[in-house]
Amino acid sequence: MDKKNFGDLWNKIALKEIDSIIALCKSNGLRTEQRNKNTSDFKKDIYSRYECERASFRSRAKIKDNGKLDRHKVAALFYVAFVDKEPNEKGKAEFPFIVYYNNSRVHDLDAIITHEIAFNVARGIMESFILSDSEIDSGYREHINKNGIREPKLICFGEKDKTSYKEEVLKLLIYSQREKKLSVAQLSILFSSIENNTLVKYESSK
Amino acid sequence: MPKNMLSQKAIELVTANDGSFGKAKARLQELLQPKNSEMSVKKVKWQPCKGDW
Repeated sequence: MDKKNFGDLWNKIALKEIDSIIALCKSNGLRTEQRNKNTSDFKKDIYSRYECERASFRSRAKIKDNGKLDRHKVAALFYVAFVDKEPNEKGKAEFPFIVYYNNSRVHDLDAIITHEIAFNVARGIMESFILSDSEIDSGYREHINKNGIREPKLICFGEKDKTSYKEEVLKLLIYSQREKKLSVAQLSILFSSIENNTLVKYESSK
Repeated sequence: MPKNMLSQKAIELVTANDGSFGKAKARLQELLQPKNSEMSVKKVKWQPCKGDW
């Protein structure tokens, strides 16, 4: 992805999602800091990691030089690049967002809000790809424009469990990262399945 | 999809006013544990169809 395209993606999708979660934290009395306080440097940071992950994925998956990546892989690459931890000035690996409550660190919240932003942006990337592709069925594009990518039903859980598909998936992705097994290939399968669920819902509603 | 639902839940757990930040952190760790679905599994004995064996 060239810098301009990434800049558009950043301004039109990522910044909105970041602002939405930071506002949520603020309204509940939590302070959020960006690891890289300069917003422009932060964007460059993520872009550089995106490009690095992309090159590595293409090389390992042996994707030909002229082969474009599909929307699920682009969403997966962004997710992995965004949640990546980097060492702070003390050499400790940190998420891009750091949360404080009454001046105390809440490390698990760093993971939760970072992953939730990444997931929301990944969904936005898939929706944008669908909406801008004139070769895709116009009815499906209209459906996505109106409803967005829909969350699949969480199988085997009931109302009393008070959870959702996205919530359980996010927890497992946080766990995968802790195990150092967050994979672009597997995330693209996940995003493809989520979109497929939306497509099936659309097809059956016709 | 519900927006920022996990973050909302986590923030509520941390800011719950019970005076203990330690407890809040423990609740957050509990939230992060993936839930197990409570499936009711019917025990079905294999019933080979009648016939010549």
